[in-house]
Amino acid sequence: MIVPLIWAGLLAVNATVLLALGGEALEVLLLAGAAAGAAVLAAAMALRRGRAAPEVSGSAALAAVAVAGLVLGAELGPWLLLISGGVLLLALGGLVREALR
Amino acid sequence: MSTATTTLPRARGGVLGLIASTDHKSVAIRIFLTGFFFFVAGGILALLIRTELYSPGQQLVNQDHYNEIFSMHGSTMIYLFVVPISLALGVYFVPLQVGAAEIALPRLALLGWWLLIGGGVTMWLGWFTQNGPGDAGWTAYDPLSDATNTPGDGMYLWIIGVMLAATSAALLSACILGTVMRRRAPGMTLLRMPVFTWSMLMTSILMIVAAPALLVAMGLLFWERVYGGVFDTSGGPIQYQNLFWFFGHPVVYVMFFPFVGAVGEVIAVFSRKRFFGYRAHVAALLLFTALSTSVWAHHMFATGQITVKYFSLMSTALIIPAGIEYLDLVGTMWGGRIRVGVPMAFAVGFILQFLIGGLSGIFTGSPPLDYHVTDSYFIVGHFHYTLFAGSLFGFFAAFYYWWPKVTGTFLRTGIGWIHFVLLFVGANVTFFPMFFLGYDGMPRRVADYDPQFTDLNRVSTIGAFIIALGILAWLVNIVVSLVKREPAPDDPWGGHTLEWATSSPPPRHNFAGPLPDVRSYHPLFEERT
Repeated sequence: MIVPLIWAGLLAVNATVLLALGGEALEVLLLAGAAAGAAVLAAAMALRRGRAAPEVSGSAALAAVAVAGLVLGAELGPWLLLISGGVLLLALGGLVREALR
Repeated sequence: MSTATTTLPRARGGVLGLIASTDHKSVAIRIFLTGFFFFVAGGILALLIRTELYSPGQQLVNQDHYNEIFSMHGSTMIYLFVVPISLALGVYFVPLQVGAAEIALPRLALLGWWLLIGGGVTMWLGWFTQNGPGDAGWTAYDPLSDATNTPGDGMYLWIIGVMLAATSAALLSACILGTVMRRRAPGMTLLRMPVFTWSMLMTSILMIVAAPALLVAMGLLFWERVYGGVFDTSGGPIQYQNLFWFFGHPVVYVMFFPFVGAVGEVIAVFSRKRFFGYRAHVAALLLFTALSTSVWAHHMFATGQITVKYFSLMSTALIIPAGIEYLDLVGTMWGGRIRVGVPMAFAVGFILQFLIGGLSGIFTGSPPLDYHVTDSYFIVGHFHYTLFAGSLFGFFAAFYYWWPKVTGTFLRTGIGWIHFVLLFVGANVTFFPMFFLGYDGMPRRVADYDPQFTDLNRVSTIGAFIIALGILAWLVNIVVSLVKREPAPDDPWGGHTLEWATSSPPPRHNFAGPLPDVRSYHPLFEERT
């Protein structure tokens, strides 16, 4: 947890220097946002507890296909969005089942 | 310690295992194979580019097709090859180096591999659309990439492909970060982690923080192309560039840190010395990471719409951590009993050539010099020295070093040397003339050029084909070594870190027996001395 926190601190210092040198709003926002993101990452790592995973996870692979289909659906049409949405539900169900085992 | 085996690690559970195994080693090998496929595809595009540029005029392709070819070359190499294989190294070796039985969040790693395939296939599907694939460069600057200037489905597919590939990289990074933070063996404190693991830790943090900016940029670009109203304002294109480079610059370090870490391991082991200046190296990595996230707009000096003082100051400050890292690498060799081998040759090649990339970066970090060389071939030379002549040499150092661990066999040394020499000569013959071409005014991204640039372009093209021969030698080496296997012991080099304390290839849960005591960042070296 300490590493992302140190990094967040360094980014915050850089954001302050940028502000002092008259940085544009978007520039400061991006850098300060990254500092905040790194701090959130540190908190997430502190809270996360690991669990054993199964040898194979078909549901994870299926979820990837569904996510790719959902994004592609934005270009190829609602039919793909609907199919991918259904596949994603199936994949999530599978992941929950894996987690409950 | 267990004995050597000559069997390659196989995916568990037949076909289902092949597509859904959560073993980090199997996932990493599949990411590598996917990246390798795209490397070959992107390499063929590079040869097309250099063939077209052999002579002035347009011989092979017209300007439109040239735009598609160089855009897909850059996008493929960055999003689908260098970033994935740098993370694949971490997915395979970080759990082993920290003494973990498996990677954290293994399903996310599997998901990451599948999204990489999805991203790559989607991006390349653009070739089959009416207007061809995305042809607005790997940066897809708006308004060049908007629906008016780049019409057609190919650009949409490119955007979606980039989003999927970036998500994949962020997920793989989360797994590596989680492993370092949560799965370290007893005794493996942060300051006892190997340098490669440290470099992967920094890489993953960079990617997790930078990738959302790219996803936002791509999402907004998609919206802009469909509905408009996002970047078509007075400051819109600059906002896009800020978002893009907030990802685009850190990703340069995502393509550098893993290899500098791997090179550090190779140099320490082949110099038969502990890594010199470990703590300074770790501090430099932290500083490097923070600065690399803070200099993105130096890519935009020529726009005149950024805070030049700040970005020039921070870009120049990058010399400090870079200098410390170089000092540590050279200091590790200093006074060592250096064993000459192919991994060491590639490691030294990395140091020399990345130095040229880095020094030319000082030029471009200085606004007055940058104004002169911006959008010229100087920039092409600069980033190819960092990404190809630098990172790829680091990758090959890692490849030759860790191949015995992954496969339980040796690669052929003789073919390895041929590979190294061809690649070293080819890289320098290809990319060094670009500095002169750019300085003298040859713009980048052109299919045709003024005849005064012919000679240097011809030299560069010849170099590109020498590189291709070098890559061919590498492939021959892999095939020969897999067909006629030369078994390797578990620790053929006298390694310093925990991955060398297990069998080759490692078992499903990495370590069959108890781990050695971890009292330093080089536990096996310490055990031997």
